[in-house]
Amino acid sequence: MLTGKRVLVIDDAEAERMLISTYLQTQGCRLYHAQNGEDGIQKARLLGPDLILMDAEMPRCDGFAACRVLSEDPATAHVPIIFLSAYAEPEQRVRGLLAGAVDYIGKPFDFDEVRLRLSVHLRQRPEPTAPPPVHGDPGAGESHGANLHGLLFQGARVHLLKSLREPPGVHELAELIGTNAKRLNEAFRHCAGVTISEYLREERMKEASRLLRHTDASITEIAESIGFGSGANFSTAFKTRFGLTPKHYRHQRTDLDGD
Amino acid sequence: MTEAVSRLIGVLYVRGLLVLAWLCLAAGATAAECEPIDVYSAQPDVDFVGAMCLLEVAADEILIPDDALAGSKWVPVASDRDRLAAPRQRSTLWLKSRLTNSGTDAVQRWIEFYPWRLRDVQVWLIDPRTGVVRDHLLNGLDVPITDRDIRTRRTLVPVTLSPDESVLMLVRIHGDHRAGVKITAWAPGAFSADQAERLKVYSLVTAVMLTVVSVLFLQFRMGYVLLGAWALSLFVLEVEKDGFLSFLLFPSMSQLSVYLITIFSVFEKALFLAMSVHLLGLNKHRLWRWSLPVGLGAACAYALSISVLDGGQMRSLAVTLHLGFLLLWLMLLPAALSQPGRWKYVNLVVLGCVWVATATVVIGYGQGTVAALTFSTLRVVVSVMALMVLIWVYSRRIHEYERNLAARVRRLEQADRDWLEHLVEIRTRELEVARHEAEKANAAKTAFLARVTHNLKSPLTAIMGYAQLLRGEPGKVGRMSGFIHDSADHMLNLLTRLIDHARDVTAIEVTPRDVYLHTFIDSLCNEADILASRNGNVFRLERANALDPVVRCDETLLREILLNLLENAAKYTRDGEIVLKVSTEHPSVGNERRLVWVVRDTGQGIPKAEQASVFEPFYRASPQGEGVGLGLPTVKALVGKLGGDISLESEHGVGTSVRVSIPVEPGNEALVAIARRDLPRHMLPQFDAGGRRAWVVEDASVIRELLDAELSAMGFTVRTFADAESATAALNATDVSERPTLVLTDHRLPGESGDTVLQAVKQTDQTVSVILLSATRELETPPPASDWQYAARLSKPVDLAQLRSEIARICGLEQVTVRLAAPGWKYDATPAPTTWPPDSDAVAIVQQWLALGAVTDLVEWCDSAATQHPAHAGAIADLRQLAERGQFGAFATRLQAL
Repeated sequence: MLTGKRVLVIDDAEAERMLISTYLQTQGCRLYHAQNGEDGIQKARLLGPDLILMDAEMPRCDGFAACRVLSEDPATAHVPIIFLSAYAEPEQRVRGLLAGAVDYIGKPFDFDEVRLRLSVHLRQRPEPTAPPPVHGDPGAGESHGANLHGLLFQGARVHLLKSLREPPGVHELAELIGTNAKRLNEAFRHCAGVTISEYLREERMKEASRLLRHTDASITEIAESIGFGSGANFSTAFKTRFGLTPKHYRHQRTDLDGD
Repeated sequence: MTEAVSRLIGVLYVRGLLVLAWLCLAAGATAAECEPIDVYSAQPDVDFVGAMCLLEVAADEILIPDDALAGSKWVPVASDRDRLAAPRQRSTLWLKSRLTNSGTDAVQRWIEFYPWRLRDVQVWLIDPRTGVVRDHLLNGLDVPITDRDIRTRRTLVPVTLSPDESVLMLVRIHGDHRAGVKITAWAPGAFSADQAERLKVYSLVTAVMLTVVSVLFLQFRMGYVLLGAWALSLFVLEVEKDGFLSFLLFPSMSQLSVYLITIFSVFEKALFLAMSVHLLGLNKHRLWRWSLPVGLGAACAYALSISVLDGGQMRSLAVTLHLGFLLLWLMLLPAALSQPGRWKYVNLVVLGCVWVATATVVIGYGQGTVAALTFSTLRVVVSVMALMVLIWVYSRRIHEYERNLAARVRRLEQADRDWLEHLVEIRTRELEVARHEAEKANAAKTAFLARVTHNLKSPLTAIMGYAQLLRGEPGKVGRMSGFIHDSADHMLNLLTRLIDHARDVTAIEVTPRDVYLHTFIDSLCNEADILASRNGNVFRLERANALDPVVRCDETLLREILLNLLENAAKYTRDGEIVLKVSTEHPSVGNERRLVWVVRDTGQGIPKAEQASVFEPFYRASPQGEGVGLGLPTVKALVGKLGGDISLESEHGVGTSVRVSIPVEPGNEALVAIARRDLPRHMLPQFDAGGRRAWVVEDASVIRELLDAELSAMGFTVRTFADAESATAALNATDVSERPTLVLTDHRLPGESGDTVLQAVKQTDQTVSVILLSATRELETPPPASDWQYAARLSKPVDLAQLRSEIARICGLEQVTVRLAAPGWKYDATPAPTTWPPDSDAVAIVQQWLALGAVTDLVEWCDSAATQHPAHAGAIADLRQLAERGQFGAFATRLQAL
């Protein structure tokens, strides 16, 4: 699932850079290191990575500034940026998200969580430089399994994203992509490290934060559009995920925009 | 008309003759002859003593009337009026006169001798022709009123004359004091009218006076009281001149009045002096302030002395005192003039007037004029006016004083208010500054906390992250990294709460979760062991039976409470024993239950007196002890948060036992964190069971599914059961080829327990391994009758890494290395260097990667280089390490050096 993805890690602390790279390399990602914001911007422009993991506090140019520059640059605007920082107060989360990041992971992190977030945010676009894994590659029984998981996961994901408002149930989804529920669950576990429902919640939250940031839709409308029965349920879920309520989140955005 | 004129002429004629005759007599006669007095025409307000003749004799000379008449020293009173007075000495005076009635009717006249205090008055009425004594009348103070001819205190003698009748009136006046003599004649009717009139006036005046005096007294001010007292004494003095008061009050004691008047005259002077002193503002004066007690004292002494003095001495003494007081008053003036105050001149003038009037009276009295004894209008008018003025002035002064006082109070209040406002202003400014400081400090604190959080979390990130990475390692390394992860996780929990608390974001919130109680206790014991061993203590756990396997409570807080208690126990105990005892309590009703934890030590104990204060912040059992003394108070607060109770029993030198009881709800295994999350799923060791069969017996569906997924991922063919009965049944129903290699069973199952499953499996096929997965494994010993043993006992929550390696051990599986990226799938631009050291083309590519920070490419390049050039493996490994660490500069330098 993450195989072959090019991830740029921008962090000034070597130990942490290595830690996340070590994990991501086991997941088959191709890692690029930058040691500060300035370095990161430069490398991001040259590379056009699939995803950027950014520390918040760095010398020369901090993560927020770098994030703003990158998200305003047409060359890098499409690259999802995820903050990875020990500054995990709600204010900083919002600050990061408003600087153009798609997500904010607090340190210390859980590798499974990192993986889930990455899998949610990585755009599934055709990779011109990396050929798709060849089916039936000799000597790669495990790999075969992994690729099958990937295919199932991708297929299910497309269906889910199309209908966040009223997503199909597990069995229905399995039927849609021609497999059974157990298989599908296994594929999700393998690729995203979570169950289908957990994955779905993550996708919903991602969409909610996007809508809150980029549209003026009311919170109730947003809640409905991503399949929450009530605004209250949505608020609770949102707060659990992001550390502050949707309303507060939007206020913070307005406040910062005002600046 | 003519009659009238002729009558007038007649009268003038008669008079002229009389005058002539008198002149002749006066010139030639040896014995003086006095003009007769016509009682018919006499008016009560005309004093006819001037028309009488007098004879002065020695005081004690006893004469009969005839002798007296025959006396040669008779002189007309008119020629020497002064001889009427004989003040303060015993004296006897004879007076004579002929009374005639010129009217046509008989007249009765009451002859009045004034003053009425004359002690002894004898009147003889003698027929002028025959010399026969017609009547001898006795009167004066010595004659009781009841014995008098006319019953009145006034000295009255009745005389009745027929028309043209005349009578010789011979009067003897004897006494120890005579201020003078006045004689008038009253018609009885006129006297009664006058008497009634006087009574009315006096009563009225007395009433008015008493009212005024009471009003003055009731002011309760010294000035008013003195004014009132003076006015009263003056009043008594004046009305007593007529004997009104003594007659009214003590009618039977006519003697008293003599004393009364002198006593009051002395009191009056004393009070006048005292009043002057007070009104002139000298009542604080060093000497003058004694004027009141001294004056009153003198007056009282005088009042008492009258019992030993005779009348003359008494009066002389009174006059002396009067003069003394008057002189003293004069000496008052210099001191009074030096007093401040705008009213002093008014006061002085008024008091001066009174003084002058009083002095006149006193001098008159001293000389013995009658005026001193009569009701002196002038003096009364002066005194009354003076009194009014003085009262008015005094009231003005009081009013002014009060106004001044009020103004002063207002000023003081204003000053107070100003001062307060000033204070408030200062305080406000200080508060403003303090607030500013506090805001700054708060901002600094927030920044500091953010930094601290960051700085503490960063190393934790590395600790937890690398621990997670190592968890996948088989054996001891994996297990120990689990411990590292657990401790770091608890630290992170504490840190998060601490920071939240310090940021005032949240008070410590209780977040209950379902936890496996036994696992919790086990991990607690691991730490308690370490804590206890520091001071050479032995730690022991006493676990009661029938603990709930899963309870719902706030694990972090509970752990914090117990660790605090254990640490305290360990701190104050040396080479002793620390016991943690846990049990469950089921109070009264419902599902409620309480976990009771007792931490007991054999330490130094706490004296009884101090036991009450150990829960107070900053209290420490021993002054030299370590720590700041926040342990127990914190524990108490946390216990309170959880709704529990804490109590302490301790005996000095024996040990301490702290009992904490926490309410918990029975937990739900479906909600519990069923698997440890400290290992990324993808980093679990991989095994391939190659389709071996595994059965899972577990009632909780979540755990069943988890185990199903896990075992499936390991390559097992899985079959699941919800209870022991169905599993046993299935075992009996399957033939040998379908039997499982491995059975995983829970211990607590709805019906039969996991032991039944073990027994059934082993009885069927001894080669099948049974693994026990239980939340209460510590307690469950294998059934004694059986030799069967579980192949492994694993605790909940499920440690997936441990599960996998245990299963692999039991089933003899080999670990499979997994490459997620398909082998042979390489980027185009990763050619291995053909030569070593690499040629310039290769270096150019590598430099491009260095510029991009392409860690993976560099590592892969190093790997392929190492394969191609094994001889340079060492140098290449160094490069690889630099690449992994992202040390691109050093990498470049090293590459150049080649």
